[in-house]
Amino acid sequence: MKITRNRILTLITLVVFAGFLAYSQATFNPYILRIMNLCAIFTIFAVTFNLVYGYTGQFSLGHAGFAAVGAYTAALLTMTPVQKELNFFLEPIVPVLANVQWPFLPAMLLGGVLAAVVGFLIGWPALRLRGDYLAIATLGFGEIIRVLFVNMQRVTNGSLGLKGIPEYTNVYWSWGLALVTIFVTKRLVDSSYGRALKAIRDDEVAAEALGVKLSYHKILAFTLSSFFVGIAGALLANLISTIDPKVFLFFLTYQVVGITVMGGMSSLTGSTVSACLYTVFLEALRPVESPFSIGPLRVPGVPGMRMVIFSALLLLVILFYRRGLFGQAEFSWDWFFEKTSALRARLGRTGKTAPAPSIESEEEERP
Amino acid sequence: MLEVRDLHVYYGGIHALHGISLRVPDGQIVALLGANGAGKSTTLRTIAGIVKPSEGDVLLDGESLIGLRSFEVVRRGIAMVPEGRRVFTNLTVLENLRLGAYARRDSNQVIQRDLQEIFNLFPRLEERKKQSAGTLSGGEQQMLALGRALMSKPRILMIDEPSLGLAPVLAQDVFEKLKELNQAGQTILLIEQNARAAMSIANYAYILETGNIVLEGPAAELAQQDEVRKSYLGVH
Repeated sequence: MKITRNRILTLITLVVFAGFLAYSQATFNPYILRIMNLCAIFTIFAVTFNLVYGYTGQFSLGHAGFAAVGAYTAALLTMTPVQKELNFFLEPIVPVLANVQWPFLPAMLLGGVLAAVVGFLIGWPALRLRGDYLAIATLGFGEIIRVLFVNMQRVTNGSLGLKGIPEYTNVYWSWGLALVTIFVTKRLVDSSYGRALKAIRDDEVAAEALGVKLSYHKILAFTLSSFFVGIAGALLANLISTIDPKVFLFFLTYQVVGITVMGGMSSLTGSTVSACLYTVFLEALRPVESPFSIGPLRVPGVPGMRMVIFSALLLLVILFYRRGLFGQAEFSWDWFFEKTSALRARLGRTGKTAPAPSIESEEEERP
Repeated sequence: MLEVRDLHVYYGGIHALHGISLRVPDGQIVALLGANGAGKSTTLRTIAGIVKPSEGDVLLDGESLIGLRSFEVVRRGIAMVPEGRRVFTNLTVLENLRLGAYARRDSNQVIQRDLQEIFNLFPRLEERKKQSAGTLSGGEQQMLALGRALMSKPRILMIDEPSLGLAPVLAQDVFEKLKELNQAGQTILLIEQNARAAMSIANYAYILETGNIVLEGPAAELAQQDEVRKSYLGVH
């Protein structure tokens, strides 16, 4: 009963959400669409980081590097030969890549696969390290990837970057893949593999004593996560149409860590909500970077001002919601009905003395 | 039968075990007693494959376990309840128990049946199966750690200091459960500082001192010896 009810509700939500995407793609202006796409891309980043850190307990800081692998692969495969010739004016592009032009989907998938391969090669030795040491090692590998991309002039065009990448990414691609990432991750963490991952997070020694193969599970989570990070990188490249190694500085990883912590470790709902809030807030805060005045006080435009405000917000979250906005909780229909009926009951009681205020239920776009 | 032959273990330059030999026959409770630092936990950890010995052998039914990783040792049928319980505090009781069956290749149905058996043995765990393990009391956590190890259907169950940090009444409960399990056919290797409690349920006991076995014998006989009574049972 309950299960079929929940399934139907999920299906309806998905259909409504798809309708909303179709409506926005057709009517919204490119600025809003760009923000929506970025929301989806950061959702993928946050969910994958959550898989590795929130569920498996491995503090890895290699996201920017894996995103770069996916982004460059997709960019080089989707660009037209003419564009490539225009881009590579310092040194010619390697002949293998000069004349290929693939459709978006295979290019993106190969970006994911290559990111996963790099993730596997890095994870295999690095996941033997624990805690801070793993963080330092993966951070270093992420930087190595970026520096390699700066120096592989004939493949990546070095610091000049790539311009004129076709803008294939739209809200169907980005949100479709974000939903796939959430679905796959959710299925994984709820399976017996997921239990093993959580056991590793809680106590490695006890997990191994129960027969959990530590290295296998860590590498599995890490590689899967790198695959989706690569996909997100490809989406990003084909969204902003211009990439250079500076896009994939450590700052990108820092943002992802911030989003995930804010949303709550081991909550995919938290990661999703937090990624959207972060992206929207960052746009909404743009005015603070241009000159403005508060009464007699003139504030000159300071680039980066919004990051100061964001950092302060992050501090507030960490101080008052130590476990993030959602902690370990996930959105579910059962939870939803429990809350709304409790809310109705409360409103019913107060309704005797005052007119009942309208109930504002939050729209949730995840199964 | 589990057999340990002439085991030597070094931690860096420290010689922790000086040639330990012991046997755990099927269907018995064997106790390994001794003070802090005598090498009890090291022996257990070596059998479980967590520590590598420099010399000696560990045999399960004549097959050597040396060189196997600890997850492989579990698959051969040796389960360990680690010292200090080490339950997964963020996971539910049910998830903890399911993890115990992780190394098994049995169908879900068989595992569900075994789960019910554990719940019959520890009704408290069934009441709290949806709760996270961190919210259990010390005694309940020890029961959970025991149940979790039993979920792997071990040939040999190794328990490290089950009474550690438990009120005497609760410790007594744990020992009674072990006795019950043994009567149902479970082979147990028990490590304990509380020698009196351990000897009351064990068939055979070994006493360790600074990495050597100094005394061994049937538990009931050992408990009568003056030396043992003075040093380990606190009777003058």
